[in-house]
Amino acid sequence: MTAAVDLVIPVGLGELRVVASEAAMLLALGLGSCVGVALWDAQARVGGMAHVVLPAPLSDSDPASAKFATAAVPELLRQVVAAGGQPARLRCAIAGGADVLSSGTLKHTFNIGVRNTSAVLEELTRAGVQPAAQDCGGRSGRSFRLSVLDGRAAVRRLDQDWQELCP
Amino acid sequence: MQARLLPIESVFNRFPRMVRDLARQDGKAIAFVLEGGETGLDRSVIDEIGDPLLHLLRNAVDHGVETPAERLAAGKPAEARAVLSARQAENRIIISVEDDGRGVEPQRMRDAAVRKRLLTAGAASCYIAAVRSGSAELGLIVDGLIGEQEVVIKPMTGMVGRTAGVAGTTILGDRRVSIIVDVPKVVEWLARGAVGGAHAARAARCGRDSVMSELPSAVLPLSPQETARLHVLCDAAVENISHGLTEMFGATMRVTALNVRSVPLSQAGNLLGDPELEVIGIYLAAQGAFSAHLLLLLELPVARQLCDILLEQPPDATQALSDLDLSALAEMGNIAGSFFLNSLAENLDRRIMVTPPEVLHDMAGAAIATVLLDVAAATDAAIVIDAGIEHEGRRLPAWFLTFPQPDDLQELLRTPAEGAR
Repeated sequence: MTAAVDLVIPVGLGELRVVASEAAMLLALGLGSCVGVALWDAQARVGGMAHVVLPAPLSDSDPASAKFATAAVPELLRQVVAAGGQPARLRCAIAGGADVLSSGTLKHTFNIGVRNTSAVLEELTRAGVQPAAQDCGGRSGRSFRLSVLDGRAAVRRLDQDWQELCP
Repeated sequence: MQARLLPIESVFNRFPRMVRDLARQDGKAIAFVLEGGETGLDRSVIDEIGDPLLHLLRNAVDHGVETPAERLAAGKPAEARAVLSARQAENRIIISVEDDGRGVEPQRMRDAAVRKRLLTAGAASCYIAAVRSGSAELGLIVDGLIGEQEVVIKPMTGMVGRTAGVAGTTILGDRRVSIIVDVPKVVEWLARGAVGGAHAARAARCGRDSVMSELPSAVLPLSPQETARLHVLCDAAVENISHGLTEMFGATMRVTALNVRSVPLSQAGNLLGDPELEVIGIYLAAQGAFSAHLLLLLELPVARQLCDILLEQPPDATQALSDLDLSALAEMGNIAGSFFLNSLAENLDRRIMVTPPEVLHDMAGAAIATVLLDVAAATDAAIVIDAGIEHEGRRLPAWFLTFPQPDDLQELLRTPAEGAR
């Protein structure tokens, strides 16, 4: 079941990583309200992942930063294609977007998981990519991984094993 | 006391035969000598010491001593000599196992350690000092090993009095001054993820397929003056917390071990070493004229320990965390956090609103990222002020993280120091 993975690539907050190596696994650990976006071409053995922190930039932030859904999704698509992915064969999965904080006392955290998820979905639609699987929302954090070798995306919660997302 | 003393012979006497049998098995010739058999030792020690000695001797015969052919080739007599001796030196008994074999060859040990993946090839060319703090044991890569000696530690004073990671100094026999590493502090840094190894250790302990990743660096975009100023401000704030906690809970509880650093956003989830670490978090935010986010993170066992203390239960009484436990933790976080945030804001002569405490039970990375959102919108690095908790002199590993809004932090740093006001 588990393929031989030689290269585990962590994708930290606001990072975007693309690899063209069948032995690689992209891994976003402890996603809370952040959304992990995985995009891959299994045949070309190319995969990428973005760790989106916020829906869109504020006035005084760098709009091109991959921490924003508005920048991360188009950039992820661009880099995966540049690395050899065929647009027609691309598959996508997303995970995260939990509402970790229960009270909506603060404006910026209010519903942030949901807002991140919808911003990512909106950008994917704009890019013409339909996610094959998603595990978003809820109250608790999860980790998200993509194995480039077999194009399998999986999610793990506290005290649970990895659950495959795509059939 | 005398009545419990027995001659160590009673243990020693089992070994000659064992050594002879082992030597014969391995095709080695060994003259085995016992010395000081009459040395008196407490009966309880006599009972315990047999097995360790057996291991040492077996080691000497199996690995230390060469075959007669090897010995002759090395210019030694064919028959090896092994001595097991005991002697009294003041209030100690010294028991030694000696042999004239090839001993431990550092290079062979290193090769074996690299083969077994205990060391990387790079580290194997260095010397490693094994250190311990609490239950944590680790190896420090050092330039060389000189020896071991008991010293009197003198605290450092003045300008260098607060050097992190240095416990103090001592004057050596030859009058040279030596600086002493604060091992518990180094272990704590590792545990907090300041260096990569702890992450691997934690991942290994959790039995998870977590990855080694780059960990938060200690690069500070603050000038040394600003860092020092922030330290002073935070120290004062921490004093306030300790008063608050002690008043509220009657227990001598303090927030200690303050540390100020800057962490790249991408690494913020790793602040505790493992983003998947299961934690209880208590979150507060300061709003208004000074904006900051504060998160107190506790590993589950520590959260339970704290509940025992806060609710005056006997140790280990708290198991699954009840609503009452969670509200006790929330209250503690509320007091500690409010005192801290208010104290920082007072420097700006500003009043702030602190949100009600919110308790999270989640992965560390998920909690930190969510709390960081506000800061993350504007910058790619967060200034993190982290501190631990101490109860009646005992350290409870906890992470008391504060993420000030960058603009407000800058303003705070421009406030004049106490004397200048």
